[in-house]
Amino acid sequence: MNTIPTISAIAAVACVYLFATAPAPLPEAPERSGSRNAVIPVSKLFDTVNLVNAKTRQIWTSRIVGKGIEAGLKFEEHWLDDGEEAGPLPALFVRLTAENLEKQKSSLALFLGSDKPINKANLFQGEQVAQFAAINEDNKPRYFSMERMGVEVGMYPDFASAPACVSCHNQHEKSAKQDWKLNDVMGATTWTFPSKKVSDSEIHKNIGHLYTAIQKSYQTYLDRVRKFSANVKIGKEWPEKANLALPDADTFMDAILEATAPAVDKKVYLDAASIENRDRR
Amino acid sequence: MPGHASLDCASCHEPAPGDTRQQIQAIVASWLGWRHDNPQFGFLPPQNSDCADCHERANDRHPINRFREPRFLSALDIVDARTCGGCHIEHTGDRVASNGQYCEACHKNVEVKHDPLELSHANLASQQRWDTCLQCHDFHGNHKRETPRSLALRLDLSAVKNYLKDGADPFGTEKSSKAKQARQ
Repeated sequence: MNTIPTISAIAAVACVYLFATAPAPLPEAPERSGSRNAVIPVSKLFDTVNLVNAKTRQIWTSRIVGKGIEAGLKFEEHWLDDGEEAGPLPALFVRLTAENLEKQKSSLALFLGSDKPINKANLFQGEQVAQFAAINEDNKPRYFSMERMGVEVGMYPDFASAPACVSCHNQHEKSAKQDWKLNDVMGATTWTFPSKKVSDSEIHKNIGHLYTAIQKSYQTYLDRVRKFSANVKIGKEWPEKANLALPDADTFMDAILEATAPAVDKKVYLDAASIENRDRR
Repeated sequence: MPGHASLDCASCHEPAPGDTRQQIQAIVASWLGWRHDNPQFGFLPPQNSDCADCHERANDRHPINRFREPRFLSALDIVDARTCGGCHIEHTGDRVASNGQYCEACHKNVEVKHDPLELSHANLASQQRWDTCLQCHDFHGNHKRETPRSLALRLDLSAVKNYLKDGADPFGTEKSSKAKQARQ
């Protein structure tokens, strides 16, 4: 038997099977350079999601934690421990949001860190040390690449924006710095994404992921509140002195949307998250 | 991981895009350098979210998303904890691919204020006694148990190693979150 013609015939049949008569080829998955429609620098995505996160954090810190404490609610470091009847402190609400972002298979990731953290696990290392030093100089964000991790990075200063930030960090026994003042840069919020350029639809999708992550995080808190021994009214009202109340998830998200509307089209959220939220209810 | 042997492929793996012929075509094209992605045949490798569909936990001590942060770049040399599969292995009969040294990746400079141990955490780290970490600490924190406050009360090392090899669970049977039996 002649081997060469046999192999040639098999190869020819394979070529016909794979390329001549096969259906349309699979579209190629985007590389780090982004999809074909990706023309927008990823820094635009970072700027938008950072604004949404910063506004959310502001609302959480002042309207939920600050006013909630006046109303009689508790917010603790170990709020998820069995038997605790408390909610997450502002940094822990961001961490919860970061976890919920991951659970949506989002390529976008969110982290908190500092050069003087309460928890040493949040201490900047490597490239972030130098970038944070630069942020501390001019209070401006930094954008850079981490080739080995395959990500683009955006770092934004975190300011001590409320008296509670200062007092809590100054009083904490594990705090690496106990003379914080209002408006100090206490650390940085870091965002990562796997490509340098993004398409318009990727921006919309990832902002939607963030809104959904915020909604799920708040819902997690409400689910625990419903099991508290104290009867906390959950509805349209916000907590204040002598009013042990919390906004429901829709009211909370409406406030987030209202605060972020100047920069983010509400449609992003409505498209990406509302169906899931409605199903959840 | 335990119990997974009884599941079918689709319980953990999403189907790869395309039909069989498209997948073969894409893989051959990739071999020939005609495309630059990594096409898969049959099923996709499990993503973290595939694992979380059954193993989601509200209070994970080491949530997977944190390891994607740039500060953990050097830790990746020891363990790539950005994916569940970086530690957990499947189809081999083992539970965790660990040499018992993973904690070193992030906790070299550990210090505990009011350290209750006879030999401090800082000392244990400086002596590179990384095997001792899991003898007291439950990595994901899903077991309902108190962390021992004395080295004398730590678990037997062979019991921990046996657990990593898919043996009996020395941390106890009571869990904070139970794995779902099927994806929701």
